[in-house]
Amino acid sequence: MTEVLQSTPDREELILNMGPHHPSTHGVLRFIVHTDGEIMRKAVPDVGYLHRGLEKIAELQTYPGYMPFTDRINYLEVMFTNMAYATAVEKLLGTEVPPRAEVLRVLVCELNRIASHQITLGCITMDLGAFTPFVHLLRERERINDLMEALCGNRLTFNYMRIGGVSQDVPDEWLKQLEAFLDHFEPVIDEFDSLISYNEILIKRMGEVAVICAEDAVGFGLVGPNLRASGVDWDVRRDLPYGAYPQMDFQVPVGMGEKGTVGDCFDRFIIRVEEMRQSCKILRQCLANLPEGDIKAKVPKMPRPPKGEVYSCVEGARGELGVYLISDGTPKPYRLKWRTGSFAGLSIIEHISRGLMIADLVAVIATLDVIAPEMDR
Amino acid sequence: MGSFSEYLANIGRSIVTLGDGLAVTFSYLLRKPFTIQYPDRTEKPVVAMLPERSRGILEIDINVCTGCSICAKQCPIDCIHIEVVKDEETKQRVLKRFDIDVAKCMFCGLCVEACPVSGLRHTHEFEGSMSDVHRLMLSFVDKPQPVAKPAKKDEPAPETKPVGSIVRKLLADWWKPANPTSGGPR
Amino acid sequence: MTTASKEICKKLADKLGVVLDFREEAGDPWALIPAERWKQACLTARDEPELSFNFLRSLCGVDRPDDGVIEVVAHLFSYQHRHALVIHTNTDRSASRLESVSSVWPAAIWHERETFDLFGVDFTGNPDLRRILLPEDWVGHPLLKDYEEPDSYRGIPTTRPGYEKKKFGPQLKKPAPKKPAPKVEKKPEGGEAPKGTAGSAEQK
Repeated sequence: MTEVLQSTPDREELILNMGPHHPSTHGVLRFIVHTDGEIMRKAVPDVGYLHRGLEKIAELQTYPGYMPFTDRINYLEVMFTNMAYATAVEKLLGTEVPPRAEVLRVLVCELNRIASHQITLGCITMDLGAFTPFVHLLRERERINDLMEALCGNRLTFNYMRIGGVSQDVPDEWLKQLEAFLDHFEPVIDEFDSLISYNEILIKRMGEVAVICAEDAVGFGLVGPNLRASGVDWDVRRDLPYGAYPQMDFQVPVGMGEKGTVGDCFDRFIIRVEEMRQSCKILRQCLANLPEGDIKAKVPKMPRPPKGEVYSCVEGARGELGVYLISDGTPKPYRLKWRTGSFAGLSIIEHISRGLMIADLVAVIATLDVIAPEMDR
Repeated sequence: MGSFSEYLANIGRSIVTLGDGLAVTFSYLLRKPFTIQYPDRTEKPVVAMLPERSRGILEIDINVCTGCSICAKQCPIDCIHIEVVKDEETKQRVLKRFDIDVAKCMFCGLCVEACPVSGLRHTHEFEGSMSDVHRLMLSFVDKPQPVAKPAKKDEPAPETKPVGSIVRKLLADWWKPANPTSGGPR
Repeated sequence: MTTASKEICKKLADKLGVVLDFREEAGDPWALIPAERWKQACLTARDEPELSFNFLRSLCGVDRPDDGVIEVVAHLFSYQHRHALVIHTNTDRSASRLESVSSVWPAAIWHERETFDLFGVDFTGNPDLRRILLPEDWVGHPLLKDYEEPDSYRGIPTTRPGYEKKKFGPQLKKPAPKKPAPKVEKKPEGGEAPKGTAGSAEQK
C-alpha cells in the first residue's frame, strides 16, 4: 500500500490507496481514500481492472454462441446472467418456454441465489474479522456446487440455459439429492444465526453504519437486497413476475432497522440471511410442482430475431440484472448492454463514505456486495 | 454512570453471544469432517468421483468423426481446427487435421451438443498443466484417414472408444520431453 | 405494454410541448427525444407526478455509423406507478455531445462515464467525466463500430505470441454508404475523431 501525504495550507489530508488487491475489496478493485485521521473525507472507487469487453464480444458472436460468455459476467450469479440473456432473446423471438423448463430455471436460479448469498454473508463476516462463518458457508456452497455439477457439468460456469429452455433435464436421483440438501441446509441457516448473525461484536460493527436512505438508494439506482434494506419494498420476482415466479409463494424481506436505522449495514446483512430462507421455500415448491414435458422450445439453430430492441430483467442475487439487446435482423446482436447491480452499488460509495471510519469502509463494501467482474464486464 | 453500565452491558452481551457462536463451533468437534485430502488420499481417483455430466477436456473419436465441422462452427472462440481434404485417387474425404486448443477452450459444451454422431465429448480429465501453452494444442489425427460415414437410420451407431482413453493417452505424451507429433506450435 | 408505453409517451410529449417520434418494432417500443430537449425531458419524466420516473435503470450508447449518429438510450422506471419508458436521443457522431442528466438521477454519473469511455459521448455538466472501465491513456472508444484493436498497449501485445492474429476490426456493415465510414478509418488512428473532445474532458 502506498501512502501519499498531501498537505495544503487550509487542510491536511492523507490519501490512502486501498487495493487493487486488498483482500477486502472483493476482486481487483481499488479505492482512493481521502482521510483525516480515522475519518474519511471520501473514498473514490477506481474500477475497470477486470474489463474484458463482454459487450463488444457480444457483437461478434451469434445469439446461442454468446451464452457461455454470460457465465463470465459474474461468477456468483451465473444462472441469473444466463436467464437474463435467454429471456431477452426469447422476448425478441417471441418464443414460449415450456413449463417444465420455466420451473427448472426458477429452481436453478434459487439454488444459485443461495450459493451467492452464502459467499456474500461469509465475506461480510470475514471482512469484519470472523473467519469461521465463512468456512461454514463455503462448506454448504460446496454441496450446491456438487449439485450443479451433477446437473449441468460444471461447478462455476454452468452454461445451463439455452434460448428457449434449458440444456439438459435433471438427472436421476437429482431431485432427491436436492431435497436432502434442503433438509440439511434449512437448520444450517438457524445455526448460522446463532453462530454469528446476532453476535454483539458484529452488530456493533454494522448497526447504524453507512445508512443509505430510501431516496438515495433509488436515486443511485441500487437494486435488490441493497434497495430493500433501505426500506423500498420492491422485488422483480414479485412485482414484475417472469418465468414461473407467479406460481411461487414467498415473502420479500425488507429492512426493518432491527439493530439501528433502516438502511444500515446490518439490514443489508440480515436481509440476505432471510432471503436464503425464502429461496429454500421456493425450492421446495419447485420440487413439489415440477411439471412433466419438454425442456426446450423449438428455436432455429441460428436464430435471427426481428429488428428491434428489448430490455429484459431478472432479480439476481444482487438485484435487478438487466440485458438491453438490440437486434438488426442478423444472426449477431447489434448491441448488448448489461445493467448490473454491483455497478450501481459501487457508485454510491463516494456519496456515503463522507464521515465514515476507514474500518467501516470495509463493512460498506462487503454489505453492498459488489463483485468486480460484474461492474467491469 | 449510565454510559458505564451500558459499557458493561455491551461486554456482557458480547460474551453471551460469543458463547452461543462458540457452542456451534465446538459442536463440529463431534461431527464427521467434511474436507478430503486432495489429491492422493481419496478412496478413488478424483476423476472417477466426478458426476457423469462433468465437463472436462474435450476429446474426439476420429473413427466416428464425419468431418462435418459443425463443432468448429459452433465454437464461440474457434478452438477447434478441422481440415478435411478430398483424396483425388479414392474420391474420399480425408480428415487431415483435428486439433483442439485446450488452452483456449472454455468448456461450454456447445460443440458436444452439436455433434451429430456423438464423436466429440467431454472427458472427466481436468489436470493438464503444461509449462508451454502451445503444447496444449491437442492433435487427434496422427496420419490422414478417411472420414467415417454417418450411420444409417436402422444401423446401430458405430462403437466408440471408452470416454477418456484418447485424452489420457495424449496427456501421457505431454509429460514426455518435447514430442513433435503431439501438440507443439503449428 | 405497448399501449401503456404510448400513453406515457403522450403524457411526456404533452408536458414538453413537442411531438415525440414513437417507434414500435419487435420488443420494447421507444420514443425519440430531440437532443436539445434531453435534460428537460428527463427532468419532466422524473418530476411530473403522473410519470415520476425515479429509477434510472440504465443509460448507454449505441453506435449507428450508417446514420452518422451515436444514440444515447435511457431506460426509466417508476416504482410508484410500476411503468417503464425507453427514451433515445441522437448525437452527432463526429462531435458527440449531450447535456448530462447526472443532476436528475445521481446514478447517471457512472452510466455517463461508461458511455463516455466506450463511445466518446461528451456529457456536459457531468461532475466526474473520466474514463471508468479503460485506462486513462487508452486511445479510442471500443464500442464504436469502426474501432480497431491496437497491436499493443504500453508495449504489451494484444495477441498472444505464437497465435494467429485475430483482432477486433471495424464492424461496419458492407461499406455500402461509403460516406461517413471510410473517412474515419483514414484518420491516423481509428476512433480519433471524438478524442479531441475526450481529451479536454479528461483534464477537468
